[in-house]
Amino acid sequence: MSLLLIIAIQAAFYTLLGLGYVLIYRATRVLNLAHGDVMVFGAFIFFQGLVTSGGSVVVAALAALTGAALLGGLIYASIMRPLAGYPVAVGVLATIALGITLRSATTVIWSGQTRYPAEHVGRLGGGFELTPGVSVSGVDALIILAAVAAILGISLFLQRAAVGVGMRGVAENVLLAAQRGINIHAINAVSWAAAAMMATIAGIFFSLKVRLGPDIWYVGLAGFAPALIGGMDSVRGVALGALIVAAAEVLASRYIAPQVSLVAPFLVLLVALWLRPWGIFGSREELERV
Amino acid sequence: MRRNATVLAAGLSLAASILAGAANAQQTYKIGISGAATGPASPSYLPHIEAIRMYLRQLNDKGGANGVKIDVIFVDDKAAPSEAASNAKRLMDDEQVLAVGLMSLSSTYAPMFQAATRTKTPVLLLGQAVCPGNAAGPDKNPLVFCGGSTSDPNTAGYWQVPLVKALAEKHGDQLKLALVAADIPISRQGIDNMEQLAKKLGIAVVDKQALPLGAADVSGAAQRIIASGANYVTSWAPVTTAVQMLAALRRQGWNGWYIHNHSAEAEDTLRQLKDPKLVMSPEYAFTVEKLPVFGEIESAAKKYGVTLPADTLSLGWASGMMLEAALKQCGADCTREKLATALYGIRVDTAGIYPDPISWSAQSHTRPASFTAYAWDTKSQAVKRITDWSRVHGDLAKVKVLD
Amino acid sequence: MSLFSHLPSTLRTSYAADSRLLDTAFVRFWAVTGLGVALALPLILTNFWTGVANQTLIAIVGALALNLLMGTTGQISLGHAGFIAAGAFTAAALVTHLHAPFIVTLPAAALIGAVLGVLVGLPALRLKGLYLAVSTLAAHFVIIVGLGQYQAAISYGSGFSIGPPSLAGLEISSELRWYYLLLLVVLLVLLMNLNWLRTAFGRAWMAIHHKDVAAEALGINVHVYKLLAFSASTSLTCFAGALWAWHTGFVSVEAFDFHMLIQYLAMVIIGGLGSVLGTILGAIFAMVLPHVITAAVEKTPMLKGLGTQVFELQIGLFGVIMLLFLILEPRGLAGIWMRVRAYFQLWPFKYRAWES
Repeated sequence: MSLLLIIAIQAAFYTLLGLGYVLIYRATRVLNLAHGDVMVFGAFIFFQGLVTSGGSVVVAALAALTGAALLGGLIYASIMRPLAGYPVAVGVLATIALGITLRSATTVIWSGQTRYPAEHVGRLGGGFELTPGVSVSGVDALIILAAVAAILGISLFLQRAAVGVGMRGVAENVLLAAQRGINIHAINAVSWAAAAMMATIAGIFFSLKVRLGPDIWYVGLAGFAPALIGGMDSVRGVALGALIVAAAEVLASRYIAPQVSLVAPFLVLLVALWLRPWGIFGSREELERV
Repeated sequence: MRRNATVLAAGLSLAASILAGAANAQQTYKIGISGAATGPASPSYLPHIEAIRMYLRQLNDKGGANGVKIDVIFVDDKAAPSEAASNAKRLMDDEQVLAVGLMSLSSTYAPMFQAATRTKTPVLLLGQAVCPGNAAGPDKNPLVFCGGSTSDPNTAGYWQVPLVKALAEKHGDQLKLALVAADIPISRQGIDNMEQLAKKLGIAVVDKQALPLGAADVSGAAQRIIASGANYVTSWAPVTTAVQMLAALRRQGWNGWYIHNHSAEAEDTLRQLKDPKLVMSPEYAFTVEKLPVFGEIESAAKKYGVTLPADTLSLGWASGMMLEAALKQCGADCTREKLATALYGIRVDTAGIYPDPISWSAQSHTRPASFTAYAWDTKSQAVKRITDWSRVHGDLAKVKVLD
Repeated sequence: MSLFSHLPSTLRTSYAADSRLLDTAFVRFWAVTGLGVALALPLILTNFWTGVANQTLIAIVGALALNLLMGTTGQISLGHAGFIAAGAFTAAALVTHLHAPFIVTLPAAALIGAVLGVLVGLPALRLKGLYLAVSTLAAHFVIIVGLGQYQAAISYGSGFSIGPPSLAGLEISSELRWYYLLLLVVLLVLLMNLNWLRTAFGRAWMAIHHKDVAAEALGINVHVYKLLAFSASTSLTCFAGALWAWHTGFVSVEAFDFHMLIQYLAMVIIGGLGSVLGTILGAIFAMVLPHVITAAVEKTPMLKGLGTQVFELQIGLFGVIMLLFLILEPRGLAGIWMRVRAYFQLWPFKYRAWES
């Protein structure tokens, strides 16, 4: 498989993950370190749906997305809403504690044993040829399609839909939005629900490609470097950030050493933040006043 | 007169209670088990803990060893050395256990062994705990007995490298080997040793790499292996690393052989992935051998409500057998000193889980190592053994691949 | 008249009085009582709990360092586990290669930490908030990967073992001896920390926390003081790391993972950002609570049927308790302490007449 295709698939996957971080940052201005655990929980609901429905991907996916949306809304209502206005560090620790709790819950419900959902799903495993000599598997093609659809869909939603415009208002100036009558709590809950759904989609793809287990939560962390590089509040930026990070990782793995692949995104991040502290497409944080 | 009688009665009853206490000898055997029940290593180690717990519950239901029940204290060390240090103090100092069973990563050994030496408590390495390299030498720790895995970074290659060579010869392939480690020091050490052994055998090593444990995707690394022209890949790492690399290789169209060491989930992984060119190389028998003991394990799992797959429970069950034999040999009045000497005299037959019986001597506190290899057979749609059992004696093994 | 109105108020009439650490009778009473309890504690604790106490004392040193950075100066740092690792590895390397004694490894670790702090603090000159947090996380990964390479390169696949330390001929080999040594160290570090807060640079740090633009306008060289804060904090953290290495007796790179970072973050935040007392309470919370949960769960017969799932449950319980603390009192244990104290001070009234 050509290196460009690998980078494209990687970038698409990171876009899906990064979008979750961006949506949450736009709503509650916090780095959600529980994203990986939400991803795993959603993927496990998908797996459970597969097993219970006897292999129906559609039923399982619907169940997973619904469950994820409910989980996201619940997290906002019970944890993030009471913590509004407190220092950023408090919010970050809250998401960490949430992640720990979710991971334990996942392990207690489904056990720590590794599962392979691909076993239950036949057709997606196969591949097809793009050009002579370059073939791509069904799951990988879906990832790219999903990432493109997500970016386009969310951008369109933010431009046209009433809730979407409300989301933009909250992202720009939450106090003003509240005073103008926008129901900020409903908007934020929707943002968290959407982010959880994005995470679940990414998790489903990962578990089909590789494996599923409570210990794959660290995969979710791969999403925040792209989000930061592109701009924590920018939806377009995530795609660019994902492309840069994916390229850095894959090329470093291939031509330097795979060990560097974990550090490479962070080094790119440091350089990017040094040049543009608010990300490439991110909006400058409020003017510094005395 | 009456006061004297009262005093006499009180004194007699006091004496009687003291004597009764002495005559009761041991009410229970107190054993501690410290393992990686949670944390990053838990998928590999928790099945062993579950299995030994199950075995000891069954043993207690049958009346215990020497008619004495076993009181087991399970503690979680989260695969962290500082937790292991705390657990050691709790079990050895506070709870005064007879012995500690250790089912965790080798990074937890040092604090445990230090406490053991200080309190003179025997430590049994059980399940898949790796035997320390000096366990067979003169500088071994006299209180440490290894009933776990003999596949350590120095000796892993003695089996795996000849296995790869034998498989290549069997299939008539010109062997180009790639080595994959996880980016933790112990795994890298293992792979470095394997590289040296491979070169000694004249094998062409075309790539060697270490994958970070937290990597979300290893496609670039897989691409590197494919570009190097490797047709055989072997790894000595957590099974999660192997699975991730194999998935990445297969997705890029690579059709070679992947040989991995083993873990608690080895058989389960073969069964779920159904990849005919994935080989696991364990030191113990998989349940496809259909030995009676595997039926026992399955029914015990059902009886005691253990939901983990039965094929991950074999090693923990064997560990339970080792513990039972040790306590039986120690006798009804067991102490730490007696147990430490009793461990030299036992010979544990694990009913076929391990091909050789376990026994420890003054010269060696490790167990004899015999390896074999399993893979998925597409024709019979089952896991099948693909080599003979082969002893590893501190030098390269002689591997015979079955037809 | 409120219940405690007969107590002297906290009116200061001189600069010296304002800077005094043990300023009121209330504080003096609790300081003496606390010290007395701390000195007597090992007499009632078993060896296991003394070991836990020692781990807590080391954690207090590390947590005070993190509080200095996050609470006092307001710079988020997620690289803490990496710095502890750096200190631990400094001690391990010095012992392995140079057979250095205990007393040499501690200042060496502090020195390495000071230099490391300056390097890690450089992004702080340009980044704030989440972006700074992530750059410190990057520093953590770089340090851990680097130390992993070192450990693998010198073939210590299973880690370094460090024997018990000797101090002036006395071998610190028992938990009891460690306890009194560590208690002394903690008291000295605590005094140093409290002292820093009442110096010029301590006030500069607090000013930077409040509003660094205003601080710059007042003539405080924000860049220099930010780097100084990072340097001091990292130096103290590496010092704690060296202590950790000697106490655990064993160093391997896998020990310094996310879990350690989460522990320290919990200590500082649940303790109460910016409060020294809160940090100490938070350290006790983070280190002792898991063992308390274990003890409580082991005594609950209902949970016996869960088998080994119970370990996972304990971790989940710890997460839930952390969440509850954060949601119910985001100002942390120090905040709870202040609320309790205010309740008793003002009773039967509820509110103060002015903001204090």
